[in-house]
Amino acid sequence: MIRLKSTIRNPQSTFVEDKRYAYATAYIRVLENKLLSDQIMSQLLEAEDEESLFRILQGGEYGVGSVEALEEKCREELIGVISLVKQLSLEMPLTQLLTMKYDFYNFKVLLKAKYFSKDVELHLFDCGNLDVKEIKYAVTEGKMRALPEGFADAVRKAETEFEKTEELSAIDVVLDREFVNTFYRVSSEYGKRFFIEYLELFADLSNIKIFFRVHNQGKDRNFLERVLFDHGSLDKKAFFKPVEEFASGLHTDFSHLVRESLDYWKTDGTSAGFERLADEYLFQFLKSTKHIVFGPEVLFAYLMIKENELKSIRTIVSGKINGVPVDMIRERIPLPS
Amino acid sequence: MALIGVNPNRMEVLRLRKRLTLCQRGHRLLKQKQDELMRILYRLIDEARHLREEVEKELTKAFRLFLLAESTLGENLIKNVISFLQVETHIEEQEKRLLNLRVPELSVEIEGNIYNYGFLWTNSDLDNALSLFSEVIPELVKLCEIERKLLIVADEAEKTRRRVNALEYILIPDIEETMKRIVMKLEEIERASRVRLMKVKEIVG
Repeated sequence: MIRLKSTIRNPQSTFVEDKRYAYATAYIRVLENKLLSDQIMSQLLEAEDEESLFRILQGGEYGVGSVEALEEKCREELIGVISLVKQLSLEMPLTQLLTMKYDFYNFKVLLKAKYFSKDVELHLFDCGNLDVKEIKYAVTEGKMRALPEGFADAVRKAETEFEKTEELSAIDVVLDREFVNTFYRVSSEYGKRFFIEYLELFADLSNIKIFFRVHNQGKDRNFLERVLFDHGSLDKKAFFKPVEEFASGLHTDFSHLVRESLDYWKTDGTSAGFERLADEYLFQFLKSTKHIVFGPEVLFAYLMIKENELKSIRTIVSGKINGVPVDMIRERIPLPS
Repeated sequence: MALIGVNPNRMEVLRLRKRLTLCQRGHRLLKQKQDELMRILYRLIDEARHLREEVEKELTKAFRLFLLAESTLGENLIKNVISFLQVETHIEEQEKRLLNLRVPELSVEIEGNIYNYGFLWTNSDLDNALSLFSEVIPELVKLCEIERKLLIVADEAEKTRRRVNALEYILIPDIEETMKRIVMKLEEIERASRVRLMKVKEIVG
């Protein structure tokens, strides 16, 4: 298994102290100490049976006795942490940046349900910035006026694309792209360099992940062009090359990630290795917020890292209980520190 | 050994001899059929075993990847991806003759795009799991076909074995025994008649 060994890109900008976030930062700093350490994660991975897994978890916030209870606990934790960062946020742009992905997710599900001929049970996240009932009303009744700027346009674009292609994935593709565009627009208006840099890195790493997956799926260049995101630092033309050529021609702070995971991709035919490395890289970028004395960036970084912790616990516990080999699980656990 | 209830006369012997010839020919044919059925049965068992091993291996891999995808992406997201998949699987059944047996032949067709979701909040484990599932479905259907054939052939082999045994150990020996008894009875009658004639000749002479 490959582990990240190179240096991580630090935010280009120096952080500007924002004293309005003194309370929020202090609050988050306390919570950061409660995050599960890499050592606990390793202990969980090495646990011999279900009983020892739950015994290790007993010491912290995840003290439950069954997988179902843990799943429920993780759900509660996620809703709790989102609601906490929303409360601590003092500005609308920051709240939007923190919760935007859940709103876009709900739009995707409701739009797909609208066009899907069969009845499906909807699984929505009731933790976004927009009220789920409002989104439901806007999508089903087609009344977009009540929606905030950007969302109505995004939904209209997704509808047009779906009507053109008749593929439900078109809704996902358009709304994912709109999510990235909206995040960029909001962070630019917000004026905090950290968020713009985060988005740039996020778009680049997501584009590389997509590049590998599109190759594995055997899709063509036109499709790749349609699904790549804007606002990354890499030129889109670089992605229209064969994988080896793309990897050798990449000269960025994270090009080593691509080259390190290339062998894994060639032998196993999966980009899971790169996905983990990319996530670790992104988390280490987020970890740079530890140098901030006071600022909204701390909230954002904590939310991302907490989400990853919940994801990792779920993966380890359900993987171990279902007999998935430890190496396979470890390959999917990005360790932020 | 049971005797067949018939009158002891030459006509019956002739009739029984014809029946015996027919039984022996039937026995030979059934024995050949049984051998062929056993050959097919062993071939099908081999095929089913290999295919089952392969299918189980691939399914284990697919389920593991799916489980990892489910835990990394979250239950909600996975449920939504699966609910909106626009993939249809059509399985068609046709009948084929195998040694006078009607066995099913299944064909499968998967229509639609299995990667019917966006890239941003999904991962390569989900792609690989769905790809493996779609690859394993035709093999799973093939396994169903082979196992169904196996049951039909095994059932027929069992019936044929009973028929062969019935002919070999019951009917043919019974006919032979009955014929033997009739011949003995006829010889006895002939001997009695000859003695009676000799006695009449002696009295008359």
